[in-house]
Amino acid sequence: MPDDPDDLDAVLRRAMASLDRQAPPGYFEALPARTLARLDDPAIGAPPGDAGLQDIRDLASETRARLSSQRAAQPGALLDDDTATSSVWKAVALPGPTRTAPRLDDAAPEDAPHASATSAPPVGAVSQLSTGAAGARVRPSTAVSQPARAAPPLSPTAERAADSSASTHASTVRRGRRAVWVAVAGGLAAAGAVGYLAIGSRATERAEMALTEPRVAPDHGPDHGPDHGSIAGPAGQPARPPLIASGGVAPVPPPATAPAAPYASALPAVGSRDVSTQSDAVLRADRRNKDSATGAPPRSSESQRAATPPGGRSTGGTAAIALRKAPPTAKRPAGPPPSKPAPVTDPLASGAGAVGAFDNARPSDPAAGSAAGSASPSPGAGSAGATAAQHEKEAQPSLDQLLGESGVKPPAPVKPRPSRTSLSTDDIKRGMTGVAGKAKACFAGTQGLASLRLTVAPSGRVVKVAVTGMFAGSPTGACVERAAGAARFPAWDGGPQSFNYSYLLSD
Amino acid sequence: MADEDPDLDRARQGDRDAFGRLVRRHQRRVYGAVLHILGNHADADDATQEAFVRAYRGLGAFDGRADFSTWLYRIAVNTALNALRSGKRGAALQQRSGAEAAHVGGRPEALGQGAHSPLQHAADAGEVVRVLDAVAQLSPALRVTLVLATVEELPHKQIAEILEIPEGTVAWRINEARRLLKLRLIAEPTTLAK
Repeated sequence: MPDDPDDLDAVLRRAMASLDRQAPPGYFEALPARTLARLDDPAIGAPPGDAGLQDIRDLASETRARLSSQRAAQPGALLDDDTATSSVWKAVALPGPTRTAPRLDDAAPEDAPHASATSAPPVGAVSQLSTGAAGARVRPSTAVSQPARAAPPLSPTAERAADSSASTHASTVRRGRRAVWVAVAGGLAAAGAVGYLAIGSRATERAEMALTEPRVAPDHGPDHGPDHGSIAGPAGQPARPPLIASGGVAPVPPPATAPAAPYASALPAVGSRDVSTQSDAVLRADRRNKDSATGAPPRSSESQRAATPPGGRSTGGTAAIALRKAPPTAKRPAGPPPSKPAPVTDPLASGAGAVGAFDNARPSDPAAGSAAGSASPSPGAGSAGATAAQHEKEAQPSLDQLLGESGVKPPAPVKPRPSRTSLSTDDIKRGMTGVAGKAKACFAGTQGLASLRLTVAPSGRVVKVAVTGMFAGSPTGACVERAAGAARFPAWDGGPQSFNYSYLLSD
Repeated sequence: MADEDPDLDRARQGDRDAFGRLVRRHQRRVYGAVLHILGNHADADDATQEAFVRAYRGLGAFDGRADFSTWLYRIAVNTALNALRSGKRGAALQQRSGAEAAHVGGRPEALGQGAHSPLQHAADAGEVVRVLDAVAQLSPALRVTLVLATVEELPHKQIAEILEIPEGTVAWRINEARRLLKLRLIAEPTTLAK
């Protein structure tokens, strides 16, 4: 036994040499003539220009012959194959306009040959695929393309097809109705959201007013109003409607004109304010005075209750946010208030809103207690409470910070998904043309075709490249590989894609 | 360059006599390679003619950048591979004339059989048949690569170009074919003479 590869090669050569003797004498003298004679065969010897077409014809004929032989050998299995073919099911489930399934009125007699050329069954083709009356097999494509001149009675398959068609239509109608309902619901939801935001904004304003009210009312009361005339708001502002819609309590109907200046002066930052809210503040101040006189417990969260709708959790959070956002009165510059109300932070759009709601839901929390205490009507809690609230606000981390500390990462920005499912020929051409200059610069004196086999990842990057052909393994080939490896393609959805590409290296 | 071949130029213009001269010039090499791959004359004859016919039809696509003989060799090897992978060899045999069929070895498993000369009979009786049988048991890819490298003595680079595979794959296939060949020859020990 040869252990040396050279010995094995020698043995192999000797064995192969024995084959060379199989050629009959005179074989090579006759071979050119026989080949040329074969070229004369019209089925074979097509002119050079028609080579591709001839190849296609050859391939088609070979495939046809192979499939025919296989069908003859295994009719049952092929029937299963055919029934599993999508085109067959399309023919069944999606009848064409020329042969719609419900053509029962012009059905042919039952004894009509189903496989005849003029009465191909339109929808019952599945049941006729194996053999026709004459034993000729009806191909699915034939069944699809032939018009139904005489439809046979519907087979169970055909009935299922008709049901499928009807159900398809019904489902389409259902989808349309569902789309209408979805559109209506979406519009309602959008309108509700807009209204909710508007309500929240007003409630926030009210909460701000409630915040500022205790700093004024308990100390001075309505009788001490003129002392604050220096920071009074603009007189004669039109009164805004009461905030009943926001769930706030408005026990006093709004007066037609602006109230007395002292209460307006308590709102330097917001300028023109709701008159009814100011009246509420007056009433609450009176009530607190009475409570203090009678020894009743202070109504610490009345301002919040005034801004909280019945059962409205978010508005309560809004109030808490407004409490934090309200700047201390002592730091406000004296002077004419701005003509426009200060912007109120939308609690729904800021992360602090959630914190505020969280704090509001836990009154035992010191932060919440402090925030609520700033709104309490306890004497001396005015500017100090507001300052504390400001400090509290600064000390409160944002929601993003809290999430980050708790290990919850904020959701990453969603990348737009690529619309491609594969690289097209144009994509490949563009990508490869982009590095063609580099690849052709690898020419080192040997002219030829550098054939490449590339594999591109769905990200668009080349993950594998190999030069085949005459430059394989050569420095020129390595250079071309490097150049082609730098090609970039558009990303797509799916798996890696491989293709061949060639560069002509020449001077 | 191949373009400088007048017969090639004329054949590309449809001159069949010129193409006949090209066939005469390259037929032995093409036939030899195909015969060594397929293992019998009948299949080799059929594949050789088919390769030339394909070459004639593909002359319009031959741009002359490669050598014509290499290009023709590639067509022949691919034709032989296709014949090896398809099951039509037996059908082709039945259409042959009796004179041709006398040289037919039949299927690949009958490599080396059907010999008629005393020398061939001696070879059939000896190790040659076993070697050819072992070669016939290789996969088409391994067999073609081994034949091109060992019998046709082509460099790896040219084999890679013909088969359109990397050179590393060529080397692996050759080693694998040798390993399997050796295993099969060991499994059937012979008195193979070195």
